Amino acid sequence: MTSKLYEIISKTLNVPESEINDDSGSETIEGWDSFNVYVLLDEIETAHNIKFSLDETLEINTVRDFKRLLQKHGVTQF
Amino acid sequence: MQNEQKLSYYISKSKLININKFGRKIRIALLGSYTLNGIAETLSVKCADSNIGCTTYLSEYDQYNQDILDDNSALYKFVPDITFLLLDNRNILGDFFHFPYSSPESDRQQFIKNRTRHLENLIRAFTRKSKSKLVITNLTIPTYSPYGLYETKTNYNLQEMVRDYNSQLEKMALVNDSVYIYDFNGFVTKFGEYNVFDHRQFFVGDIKVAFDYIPYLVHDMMGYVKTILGLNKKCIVLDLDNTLWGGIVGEDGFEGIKLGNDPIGKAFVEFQKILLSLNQRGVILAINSKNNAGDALKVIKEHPNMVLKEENFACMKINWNDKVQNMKEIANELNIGLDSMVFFDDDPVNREYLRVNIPQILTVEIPQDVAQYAQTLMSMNDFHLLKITDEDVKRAKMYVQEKQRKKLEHSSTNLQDFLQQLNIKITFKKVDSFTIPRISQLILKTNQFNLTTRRYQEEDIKKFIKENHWVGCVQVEDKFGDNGITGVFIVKKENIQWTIDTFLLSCRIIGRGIEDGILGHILKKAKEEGIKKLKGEFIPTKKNTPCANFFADYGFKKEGNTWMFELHNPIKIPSHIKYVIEQ
Repeated sequence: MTSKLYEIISKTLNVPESEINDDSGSETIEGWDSFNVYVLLDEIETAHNIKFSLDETLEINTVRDFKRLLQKHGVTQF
Repeated sequence: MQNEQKLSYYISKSKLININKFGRKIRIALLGSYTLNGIAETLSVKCADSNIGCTTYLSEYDQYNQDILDDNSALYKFVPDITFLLLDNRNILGDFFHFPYSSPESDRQQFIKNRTRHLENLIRAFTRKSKSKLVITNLTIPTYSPYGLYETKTNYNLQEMVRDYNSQLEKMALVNDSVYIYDFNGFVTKFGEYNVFDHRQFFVGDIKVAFDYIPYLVHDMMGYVKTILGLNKKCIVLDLDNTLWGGIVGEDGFEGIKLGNDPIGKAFVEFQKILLSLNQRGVILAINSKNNAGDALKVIKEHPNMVLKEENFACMKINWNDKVQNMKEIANELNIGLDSMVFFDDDPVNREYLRVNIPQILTVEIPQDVAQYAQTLMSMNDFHLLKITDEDVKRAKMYVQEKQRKKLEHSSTNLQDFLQQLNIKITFKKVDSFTIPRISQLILKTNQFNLTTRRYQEEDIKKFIKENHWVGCVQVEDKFGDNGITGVFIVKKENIQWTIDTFLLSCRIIGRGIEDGILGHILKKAKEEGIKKLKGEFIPTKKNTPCANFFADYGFKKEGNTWMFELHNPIKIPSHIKYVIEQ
């Protein structure tokens, strides 16, 4: 179910999909830094053709946050 | 234009690069007034794609002043080959960016004066401490003004402030050989401010080039990297049918091809105009086409809308031979390396065939849509020169004259006859600020007829002159035209003996007695000044065999590793050449 999102995270941050879970974030993924998280955000937005607001982007700390925001924007398949 | 990959592609790919596997290396420093993350990664991937191993230094956020002004900074310890200084108008203009009109005109002018003076100091400090080329971005002309429509009726308005700053910047680069200006304003104009500047990215991370546009920016930066490394291309080889005109002349006929008049034809005319403009500043054009020569030549010579004429092509291979073979013959005839050639062909099969068989040639992936041909060519970063000299502008003509010389050579009964008929004149030019850039250019790039292959920058040449050594350059003309400055020598003067430190000729003028004429004049002058012996050196390289026997043939005697000429011996000066010495 969550493969597309994990695939993007895996590709963008160079981390194996098996190491990604809902709690993954800057603490657990090495490449997840203040800059790369925006590169990741940009990838996810492009993949789903949506745009998060400034407010929303500041709420992102973990993979769970991405899922929540995607759902908020009506994306059910990620 | 070729669509770029997303930034994430470059970031993840950059981690997989092993720069040790590339023969060519470059060290690039990035300094800036905003977040530059992503640029270094993209640079290293694009360098790797061009077989360049790139090491980058990224200055701390907005620390460019400290990095440049501190003698012991990490920047100078890094020892860059190229340094990019990326500045933006918010940073440079400060409060004036939002509130230009809260200060009177005189303050606005003073402010820009101060900012340009500060930048001048930075440039001075940098060039004193580093040998690196420095590329500085100019500023984007703001599109918003609190004055709205009245902006353009206001004296020294916000836009004028930035234009003034930009033009001062250009003046600084004009007087400083190692400083270049990257037209960032042009970059933003090309892609659009609303695309390049993303407010959200700006607020979250002071990112002033949106992620999607970083790869395009780096594409432009690569233009400097390739040129500084001498990887720029010299020659564009073109197919004909559906590349220079629409349709197939062998099938559609002279009247049936599309060139001018209709929309498709206009696209080909536009493409030809861009090619001609490059040709006029020294990029060589050639043809490699499977066609009946008669049909194709009729179009080139007689079609009213053909922009490129026969004389624009230095070499034409219009036949049914193998395209790879044709390509090798073109390289041979023009005496240029395969790695300095670019190939345009609309047929993907031909392109693939060329790529597989001669990977050194840059085969351009041209789009299916002819409307994009011109833009594809214009967006290439392979044809830049650090300096455009008179010789570059004349080059295209010179290759055509060379074709006429070859014709005469074939029709002459013997070599002496041919040389006599050429009416060669060589002029020993004055060495000054006009000729030094060309002298350095020749010293840096000449490989074949180059006795010592010592490479000197302009600064080195000025030093030789200051130390009273003899730096000379010759212009070569004949009845077909002017070859420009194509010979250079440096003679080191010691009390009783002179030494030829450097002696080189552009390969297109060798074998006409010119080399003997120049050497003869050096010997004559040495004798006049009471010198007894002249020493010559030949340092063999992979490429300079054409001049391996030069000293021996002239009559020098071998002494250990060097060649010696006793000046009581007769000095040969070929009589078919006219000599002029400029004072």
